[in-house]
Amino acid sequence: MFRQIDPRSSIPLYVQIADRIRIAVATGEMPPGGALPSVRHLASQLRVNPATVVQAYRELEEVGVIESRQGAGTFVRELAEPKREAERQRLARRLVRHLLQEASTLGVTREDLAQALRVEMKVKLA
Amino acid sequence: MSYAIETFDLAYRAGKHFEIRDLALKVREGSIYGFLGPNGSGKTTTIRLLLGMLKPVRGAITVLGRKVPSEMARILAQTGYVPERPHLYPYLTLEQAVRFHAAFYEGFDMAYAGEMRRSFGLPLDQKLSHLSKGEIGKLHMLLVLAQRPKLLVLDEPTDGLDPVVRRDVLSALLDFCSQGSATVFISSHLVHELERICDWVGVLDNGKLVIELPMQSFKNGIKRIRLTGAPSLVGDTPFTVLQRETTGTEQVWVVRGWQAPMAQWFEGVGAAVKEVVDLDLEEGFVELLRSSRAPTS
Amino acid sequence: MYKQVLKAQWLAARLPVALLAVLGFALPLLTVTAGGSLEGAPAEQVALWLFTAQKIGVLFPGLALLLGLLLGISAWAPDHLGKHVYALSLPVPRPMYVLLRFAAGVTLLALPVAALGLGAVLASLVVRLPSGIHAYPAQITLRFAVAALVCYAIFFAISIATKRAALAVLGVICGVLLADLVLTAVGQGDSGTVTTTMFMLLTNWPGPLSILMGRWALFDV
Repeated sequence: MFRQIDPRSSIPLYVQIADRIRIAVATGEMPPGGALPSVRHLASQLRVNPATVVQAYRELEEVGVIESRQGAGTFVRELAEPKREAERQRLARRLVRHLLQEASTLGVTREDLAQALRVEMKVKLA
Repeated sequence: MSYAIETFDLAYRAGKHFEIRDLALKVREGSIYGFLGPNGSGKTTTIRLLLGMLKPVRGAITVLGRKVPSEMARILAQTGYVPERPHLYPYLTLEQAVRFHAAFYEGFDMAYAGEMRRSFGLPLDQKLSHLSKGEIGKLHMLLVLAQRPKLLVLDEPTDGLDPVVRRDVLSALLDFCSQGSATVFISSHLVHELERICDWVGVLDNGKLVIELPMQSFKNGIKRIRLTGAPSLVGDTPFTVLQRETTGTEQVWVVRGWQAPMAQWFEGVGAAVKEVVDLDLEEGFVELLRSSRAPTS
Repeated sequence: MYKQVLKAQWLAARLPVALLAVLGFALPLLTVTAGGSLEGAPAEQVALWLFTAQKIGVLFPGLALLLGLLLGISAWAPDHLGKHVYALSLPVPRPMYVLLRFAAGVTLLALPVAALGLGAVLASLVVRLPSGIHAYPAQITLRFAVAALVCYAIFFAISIATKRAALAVLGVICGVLLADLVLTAVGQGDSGTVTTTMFMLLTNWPGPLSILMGRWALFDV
């Protein structure tokens, strides 16, 4: 799940980590009520500053994705299905935003993009 | 704010030229401070000065609140030092080397040392001279972490180690950091490694501290800006200009301390911003050095 | 701390120490057997036996010198290899560390000294001395101990210095000492014609090296 943390990206490391966790929660990979790795474990595993992990967890707590229980650790909050769906939609919109930005940088038109989407999605569904 | 390491007006000379000049380091307690600089910039010399192994020409050094060198033994009791080149006795076996080291440190955690030895896969009864470079690197980290020190001073601890060993060594280091509030002072020219783990960075070039600031500011703050119609003479700018280049009709400026609203400044002087590109730590580091060595015209 | 420093120094020097212990044990026995049997020997033969024994006795100070040299060097060799960085990073004030190293070396000295003492006692028991000749095992062992200590202290001090300086001083001292020892043994008198004035100062009382000079006699009148 955390394979591609990229320190060179302009996105701060804690944001990258928090995003990965959000995705995992949205897709169900991290089930509601499941335990998150300890700060110590994650910092060591990812080879990042522990403060970075703390920041990521704090951010996730603020938006209500996870909660920390005194003495027990950090856990995924029980989110109702509508909330998880909203999360997935948020991620989908972000993906599309990135796609559109890149397309404009590369000079790919909306028409080219729409055509490509049709082709690719057909292939996937088939 | 308490500092684990502080230097004031530190200078050192070996031979005719000054190796270190006007050095004013401030390493916050509990931070992981990356000491960056090209080879030969004086990183190892600075570390030797901090540990009382060299005598400065002038200036004061305070480590863990105590003066160097008058309270050196007390400082060293709480400091773990990994040197640039291995310095343990090669004719001792690993077990003998650990026991020797442990005898000098009151809080040495033998159980923790044993744990690390097993997870590093180090053999107990081989002479140090028969161990590989990677194994020696792991041993050095094991010894200093088992001291459970307040301060870690690491001089290129992963230099020359293969990527797998590097990961293991850094993992162990970060695992230790997460357990408490130790301060880490780590020098390296492996910029990407420092990028992940450091929350502060100090850049040394030619014996002078070029910049010292939080890692995030350093990373986010340095940008490459493509524009047209940039003025040739520049007065006050809200950002610091590190570099300016003209290619055809466009100009490329490298600036530090950039924030998005500053695009307005360019509009104010009749220029148009085409693109703002983030520089990663390595690129930012290179630009910073270039600009500090040859001032912009 | 001392225990570990001692252990480290023993591991570095155990071969030479063991070797010198064996030599130290053997030397007194050698002085006894070299001159042949003393059973019912006439006066001239006894004198010759004594002379031979004392000629071999030159090896005693030589051994003390060697012991001091080897232990002095091995005390600092491991630190020299690493340019003293390790020792300087340990939380021990430098003078204290030097003391630890010195004390460890002195402890290791005890082994060959004890071996020599044992050999001397054994030799004096084994041989049947005619009347008028006495054995002095205690005295020679003591003298050996002090001589070894003095040499150790000198080479220990030299050893801390830079390699070049140490080797230079070493070369000079060894060469000069050796020359004078040889001359004394050959019977050319004990002032030593090759020695310089400074050497004279060193080797005549109260110079530190005077203990090495002169006759080393396990057996004497």
